[in-house]
Amino acid sequence: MSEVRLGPFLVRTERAKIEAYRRATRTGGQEIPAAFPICWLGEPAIRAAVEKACGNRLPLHEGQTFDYARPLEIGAEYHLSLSLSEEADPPRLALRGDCKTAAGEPCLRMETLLRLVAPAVELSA
Amino acid sequence: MNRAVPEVGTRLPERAFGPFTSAELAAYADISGDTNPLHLDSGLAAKVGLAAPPVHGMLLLAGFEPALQEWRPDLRIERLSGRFTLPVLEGEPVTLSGRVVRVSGGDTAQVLVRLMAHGASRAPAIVGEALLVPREVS
Repeated sequence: MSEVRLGPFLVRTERAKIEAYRRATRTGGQEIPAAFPICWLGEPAIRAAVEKACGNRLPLHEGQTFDYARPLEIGAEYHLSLSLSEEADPPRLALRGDCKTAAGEPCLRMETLLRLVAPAVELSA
Repeated sequence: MNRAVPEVGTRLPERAFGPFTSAELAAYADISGDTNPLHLDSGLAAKVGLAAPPVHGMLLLAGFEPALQEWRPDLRIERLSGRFTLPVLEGEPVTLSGRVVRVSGGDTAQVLVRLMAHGASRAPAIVGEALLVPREVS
């Protein structure tokens, strides 16, 4: 197993993005949805790192965990550090995120498990 | 906590979620950044043996949050997890359910709820957990 550490990345909880997320997921409420931080993995720098780790394999989302030490606040900035670990059998990529407030207080740990399947180029052929 | 702690075995009201259209999957892909073509390209889905693109697992997992909030608005989610075991396809209705599997008492009560999402198959599409704790009173 190899591990790559990335970040910390600056991530945000913009109100407009949270509202768009609520619309797309049909969730209401006034708070930040617990699963909202999955959107941070779509940030260009993070996404590029994950795509590089996947290579030409197609990632299938196999599991996800969000573990909060404290609720996130709307309109705040956080620092997200990531580690990417690859397992060989079966091929799988584990992303573990450690999110802290701007003051360095722990607020969230998240884990994403991606199963890596047949080369995408073959699927697209 | 302003309500009694739920008992082990208590079931959440079942909740219908979806079905989702291709436009809705595209909207979720746009906001989440998960633009995996498998969710958006019916041709690619067919190549892996699926009759339609699968709904993002995270979109389905998100559906548990309003279900939990409506059931117990006095509790908040401290931990949410899910394993995506079977695909739910575009256009397929989903049923969300849950059951309390562990409770700890006292002022720091924690309620562990086992979560399940079913599509058309009898086997679950998602098996997950939510750990709920009392909301802080401001």
